[in-house]
Amino acid sequence: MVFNRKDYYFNGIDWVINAFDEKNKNFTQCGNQSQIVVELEGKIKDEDVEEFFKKLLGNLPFLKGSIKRALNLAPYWKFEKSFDFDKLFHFFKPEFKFDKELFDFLHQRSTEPLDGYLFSFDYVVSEQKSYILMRFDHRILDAHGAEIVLSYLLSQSEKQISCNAQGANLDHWKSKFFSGQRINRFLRSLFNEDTNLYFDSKSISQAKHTGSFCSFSPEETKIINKRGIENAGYLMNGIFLLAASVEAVKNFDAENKVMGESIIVPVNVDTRSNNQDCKLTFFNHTSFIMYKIPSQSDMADTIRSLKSQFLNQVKGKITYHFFNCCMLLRIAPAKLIGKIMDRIMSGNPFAFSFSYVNNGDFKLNYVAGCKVANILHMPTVPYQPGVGIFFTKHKDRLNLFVSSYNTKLSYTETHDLCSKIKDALLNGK
Amino acid sequence: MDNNQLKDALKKEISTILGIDVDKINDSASFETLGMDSLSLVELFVFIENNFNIQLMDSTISEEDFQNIDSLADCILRNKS
Repeated sequence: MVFNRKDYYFNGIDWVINAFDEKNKNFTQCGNQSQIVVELEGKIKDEDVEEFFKKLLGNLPFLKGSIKRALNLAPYWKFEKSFDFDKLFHFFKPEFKFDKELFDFLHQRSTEPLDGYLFSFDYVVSEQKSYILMRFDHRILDAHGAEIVLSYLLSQSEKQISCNAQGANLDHWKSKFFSGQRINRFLRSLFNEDTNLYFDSKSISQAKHTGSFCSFSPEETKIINKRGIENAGYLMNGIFLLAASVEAVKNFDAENKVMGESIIVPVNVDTRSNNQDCKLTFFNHTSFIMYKIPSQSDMADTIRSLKSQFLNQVKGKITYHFFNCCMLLRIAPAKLIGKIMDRIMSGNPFAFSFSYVNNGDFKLNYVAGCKVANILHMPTVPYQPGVGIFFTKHKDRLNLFVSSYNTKLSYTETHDLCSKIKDALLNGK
Repeated sequence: MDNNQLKDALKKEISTILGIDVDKINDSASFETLGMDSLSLVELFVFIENNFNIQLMDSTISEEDFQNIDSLADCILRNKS
């Protein structure tokens, strides 16, 4: 594979994520990164583990990257392939008595800084199960892309995964400015004079990531799917999950929750169409839909409101305009964008981040002869809003991960919120 | 517009939304199998609203109506008349 530096420009969303990455690192040294956990029934033989992961790392087109600016001022990646295996791979055999201890360990690994690398892998063996952990830098991969890459790597193919070019996109300025105008108007209408619900910051000197995880059984998942269809409609499970999360947050008795007239939630959406998956593996192909929900509404009203806003934002091509106008932001250094974000976020506009990856792109049923039991995503939430509710579904299992900074929610509070969401999903009205 | 023309129009739109060949869209293939998600479904709703003046997002149309091209075309014709 021939690398041409000009082929690996940042798109606008990559650049915004890069700004979040810098801000996150200021808090905890851990950037805007995520971890996918592949739960296996069985384990890879001890003597084969090192060879398996060496081959896997060798199949990645790059492992390190630094950011440069081209003469046209667009930022691009300068990639490196060299790596130190001992830094990028760790093998653990912890002895845990309870699942909770295992989860805490997996979560602690998800917040391990990548130290300049773009990927890092762990293999964890615990009793009859084992777990493959891939941590990745969100500047280079989004959740869908990461599943495609991991699926490919774990298939132990003989071929290296390829990274398609991403151009500088220094054209169609009029359209980008028009998108910017649309988004400015949209955001102004969203952030009017209402006070919004948010989690205020606690005064803790050492900010750390904290989180809670819940995997629903196939029976519970079936119930949630059924309730989703009954309450929100066919293929509208994401709306139902968000409505239940909103309900749980409203009823959640946190020490530092500040109640307001409305709740604003940014939701990540994947912008790839089906035939693009193989081409658009790397970089971020996501955008946003932003919902504003009156805090007095019940779950049925919330669903109605979410569906109507969803329709209106699709009609208004808001996801396209977000993606398009973010291209303009690349001219600003990440530090400057960070300062602008600080100003916007000082008003605490958002309650929490939300995403739902429904039966993603991880297609393998077996890895190294072991059956794949579940796939979990553990993203570190951006510094603002500092609380994230992330759902993933793998085959017949729904997974929920609540990610937060301890300055926003304590460890116990993330567990409480997780239970409240579970209750709203299974019993909420 | 008769049933066949309606189905062809839906297939063409779904092909654009999902980025798959029109030939691969069978009348009875379920939308979920084709890879439709909530975003693409709402994009299809917008197309139906713009072209047939039927609002499906807030309707009480059942899951069965959205199974495939056949059932969706029937549903549109039923709601139009």
